[in-house]
Amino acid sequence: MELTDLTITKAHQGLIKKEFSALELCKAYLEKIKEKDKEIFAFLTVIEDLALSQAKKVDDMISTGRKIPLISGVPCAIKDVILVEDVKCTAGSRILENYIAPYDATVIKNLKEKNCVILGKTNQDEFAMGSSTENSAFKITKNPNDLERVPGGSSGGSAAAVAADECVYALGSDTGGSIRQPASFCGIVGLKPTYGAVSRFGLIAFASSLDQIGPMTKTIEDCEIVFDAIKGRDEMDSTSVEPKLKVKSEKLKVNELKIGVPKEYFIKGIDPEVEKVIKLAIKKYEEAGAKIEEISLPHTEYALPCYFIIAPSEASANLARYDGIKYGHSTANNPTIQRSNDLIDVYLKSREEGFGDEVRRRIMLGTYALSQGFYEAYYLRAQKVRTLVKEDFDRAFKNVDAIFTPVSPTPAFKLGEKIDDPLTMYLSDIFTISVNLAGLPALSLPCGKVDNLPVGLQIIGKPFEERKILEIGEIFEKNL
Amino acid sequence: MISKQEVEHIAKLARLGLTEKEIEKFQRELSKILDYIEKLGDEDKSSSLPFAIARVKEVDISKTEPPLVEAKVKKRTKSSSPVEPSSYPIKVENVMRNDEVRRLKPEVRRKLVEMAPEKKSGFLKTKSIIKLPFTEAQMKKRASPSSPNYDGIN
Repeated sequence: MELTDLTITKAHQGLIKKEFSALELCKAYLEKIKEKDKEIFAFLTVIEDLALSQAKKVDDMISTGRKIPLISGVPCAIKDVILVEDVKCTAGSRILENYIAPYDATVIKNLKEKNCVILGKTNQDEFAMGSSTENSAFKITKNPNDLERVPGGSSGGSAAAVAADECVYALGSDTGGSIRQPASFCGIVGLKPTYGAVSRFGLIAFASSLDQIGPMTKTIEDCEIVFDAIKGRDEMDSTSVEPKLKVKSEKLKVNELKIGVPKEYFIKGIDPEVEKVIKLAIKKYEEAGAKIEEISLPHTEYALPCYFIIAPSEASANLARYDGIKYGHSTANNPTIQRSNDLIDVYLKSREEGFGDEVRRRIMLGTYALSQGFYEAYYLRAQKVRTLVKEDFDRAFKNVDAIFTPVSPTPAFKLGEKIDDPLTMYLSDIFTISVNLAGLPALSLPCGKVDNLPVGLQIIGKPFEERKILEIGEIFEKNL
Repeated sequence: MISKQEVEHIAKLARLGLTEKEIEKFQRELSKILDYIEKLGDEDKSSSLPFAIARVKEVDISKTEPPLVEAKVKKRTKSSSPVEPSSYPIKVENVMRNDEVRRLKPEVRRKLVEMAPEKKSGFLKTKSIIKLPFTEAQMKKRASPSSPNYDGIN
């Protein structure tokens, strides 16, 4: 039996039927990482000791006949922007190169309570800013489907690790598409939960009103399992909420489904082959009995510029904490700086050496947008546009159950293709960004290929209707 | 196009050191991005619309382009009601907890302080941020006899 192509449910079955032990499972994945990651470069840190001790604990539980949760003993990977106690957490940045997390993020606490096995921390764009993982200060991750292409970003390491069978599932974070776009590029399932559904405590902040942690898995079923394990209100995150639970209704009937397809998402600039794959997937839903309706989200074209005011503004405030005084890279002990009497020299030099280009670009953009005289013209205006983007969705959801769009206008692009042109890089998030502005849940589901490259269908739902979009996705995964 | 001086000013505000070459690079790149953002600009300042004219003519869109709209005026359907800004997608405001001290576990506190590049007696150390009215030697003389020991502070 091949141990490294399992889903969570299959691994769980194997464990409780004692077909293999958690230790064997863990070792198989560590071995796989050793062999495979030489060409994929998905991991920044592999934490063998911790993983093995966690696995042993699960074996002990099984041998004493205790019932174990689904994710117990199932090896996973965590994006390096989420804190795991006593493990290095770099956020892909030089400025946190030697930062050891002093506590667990709430999502990690939740997973550990269920005896997860954490194999390591995955590569990403620095501070989750990017769409290809090429902005990492440490290494370039390759797309397992084609080693000359990017895995997407910013959760590119997590997506590549799942796609290359280097772990069973992973956690990523999504601020403008950072779970969904790499999931689409690597051919796996990725869920960005509703804003507030999952605690952000212990997630290194990028743009706090947009960030969400979410699962990256091989199947919809796994996605739901991980989401259930990490979601919920947390007193350490005042924006987290416990939605009023609705009793799970009987199985969704496909012939009662109404699906909206926004015309603004099928535009000049989208790869015609991608469009074909997406349209075919939508057609399959139609043939299965779903009602497909063209809808309009008129402010779509303003979402990207709006995002590129709000996200950098919040980032410039959030990243002010990296000052060379409290933790992280510092020039305070550098002799020339020591001779200076000016504190500002510590700030300037520490941040100059610690931050990469994209991060500095966004900090400056945000500082500019928030600076005197520009606040109203940029930030306040962007917040108003944000309201309009959200209202577009509210209006649409009065008539439809879910909205279908492509995840990205192209399949995975070549390494180096867009890295020198920030604006072109930004445009690869054009279909995912509105969802973050509106705070909605959205799923990236593999729905076909262009040549050898996976294409993801984006399924957007109403706030806190994760379960519904997962069910809608499952219809395709299982039957179409 | 933003000027070189503006780039230097922003970098200083953001506490980012830049080399001469980088200043030029960021001037170029930021200008391009800001031109794109101008899409949100409103030429008619008296209007209650959050935006009116899409100015996209300067945008360089090579591969995956967004819809290129001709300059046009968009009207809100309910044109009389001003649009409220959204700072969060969900409605939460001023979530408070009880005003109680939460003590960190001593080992967490130790870990946090350990990470600082310069520390002294369990505190983080920085260069002075205010000008002292007297010299350091005078300070020492004043403080030394009964200076408290901060080592055991929580």
